[in-house]
Amino acid sequence: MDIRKVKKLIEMLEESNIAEIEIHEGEESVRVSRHSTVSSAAGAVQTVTHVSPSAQTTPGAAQPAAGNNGGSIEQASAGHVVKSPMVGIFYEASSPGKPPFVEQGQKVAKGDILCVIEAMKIMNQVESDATGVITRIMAENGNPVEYGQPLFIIREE
Amino acid sequence: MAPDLTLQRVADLRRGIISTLADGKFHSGAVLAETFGLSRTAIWKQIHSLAAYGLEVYTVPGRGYRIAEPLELLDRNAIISALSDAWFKKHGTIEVNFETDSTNHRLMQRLPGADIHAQALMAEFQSAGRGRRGTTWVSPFASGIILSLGWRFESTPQAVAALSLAAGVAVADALSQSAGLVTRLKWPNDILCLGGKIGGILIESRGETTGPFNVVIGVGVNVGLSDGVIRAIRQPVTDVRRNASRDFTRNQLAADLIGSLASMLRRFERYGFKSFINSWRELDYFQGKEAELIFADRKVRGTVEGIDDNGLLIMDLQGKRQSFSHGELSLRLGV
Repeated sequence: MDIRKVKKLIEMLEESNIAEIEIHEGEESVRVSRHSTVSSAAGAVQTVTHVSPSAQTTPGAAQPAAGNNGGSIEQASAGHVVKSPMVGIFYEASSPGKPPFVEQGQKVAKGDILCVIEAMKIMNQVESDATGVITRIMAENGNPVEYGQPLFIIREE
Repeated sequence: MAPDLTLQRVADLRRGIISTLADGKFHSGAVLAETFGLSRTAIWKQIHSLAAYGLEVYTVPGRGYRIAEPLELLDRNAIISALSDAWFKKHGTIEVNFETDSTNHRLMQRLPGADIHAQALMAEFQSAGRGRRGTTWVSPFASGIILSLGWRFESTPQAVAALSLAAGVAVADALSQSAGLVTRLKWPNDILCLGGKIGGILIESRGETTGPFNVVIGVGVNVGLSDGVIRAIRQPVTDVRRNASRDFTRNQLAADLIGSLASMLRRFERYGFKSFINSWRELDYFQGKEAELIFADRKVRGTVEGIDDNGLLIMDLQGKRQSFSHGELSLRLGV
């Protein structure tokens, strides 16, 4: 698994109120958990990666995750996840130099435009399918996103 | 001092003056003043303001005003009667604006409340014509076709991004039908004629992951550009008039574009991109050519192999085959 993905997961966890994230990709899986068994520091993040079937586990490992086809994210405690409807490039604003559609901490209503995903010169405005507060923006402006990749986390209200 | 004219009055006045001058003949200031109930100075002012539309107006003392070239203005009724697509004639709507900021923007703004299905919106002039990501689409008054067509899919179609390529095929078909034009496509959907850009497409869509999916297909076609405009645009461009192999009218071209796009959308809805792949491949200008694919922060070089079944661009990068969903293709000259 790409180390950048793991780093991203840790960042996600740190900046959210999620307790644990587990991600499966084919035969690989990673679980990032906030429940530290070794450190007493509040909010410490412990990373556990293991590659099945060889299952190289690091000390303090959590139980191996069951294999799951395709990428999926499970959250122990999380908001609503808005996923990318298509493969393409993520844009936070309608055009360069314009303010982003939404920012972290902003309230959004169902139907509001959250971002644009460009694929083959189709500019797709992604609507929010929930009402609440944006707690996390999980894609970076101008970067590629995959189908089903989490883009935003909304704490529903 | 004449009283201030309301914006609506100014718009009506300009439309009236342009319609009068459209014949390309001389019209005296005195006659125009009388026709529109204004002073000759006020007419002079209005005519000077037409430069903002990209219109060149010649002033010859003693003879009056005339525009550089006669204009064929868009006429909603003429477009409707020229429509060969019976389905659209029955179910679609056509709106022609004199001036707007951007026809795509106008249609997109009607969402999510209004139904934009089978609505065609055209304009003689756009003050904020757009390409992708902040680039502009330049088109002086009545010198091209500026058309946006709205469509509502009941659910997001399979491989919806390939709609972009199917739209290119539809525009190429319409140009061939109206003016006997031979065009080629540059991935994903620029329309080229003898290497110059003759048309461009910008598609915008809006929807949730599930549920109805609305798209607006924006098409810009250069119909008759002056030499000055062609020189002023930073990339090689050409127009329909310079390349047409038979007589055509702007209204006929507009009708053919609307019909061709509407029939493409119905076909796409039913059969998906697979029913357009062969047509697209036949029109592919870059296939087998050495090219660069340019991104915001980098570029890659290689040989263009073509497109895959989902419309992705396939390039051979020094023996490594890779597919792309975005990037700007550019020919590598001198290789």
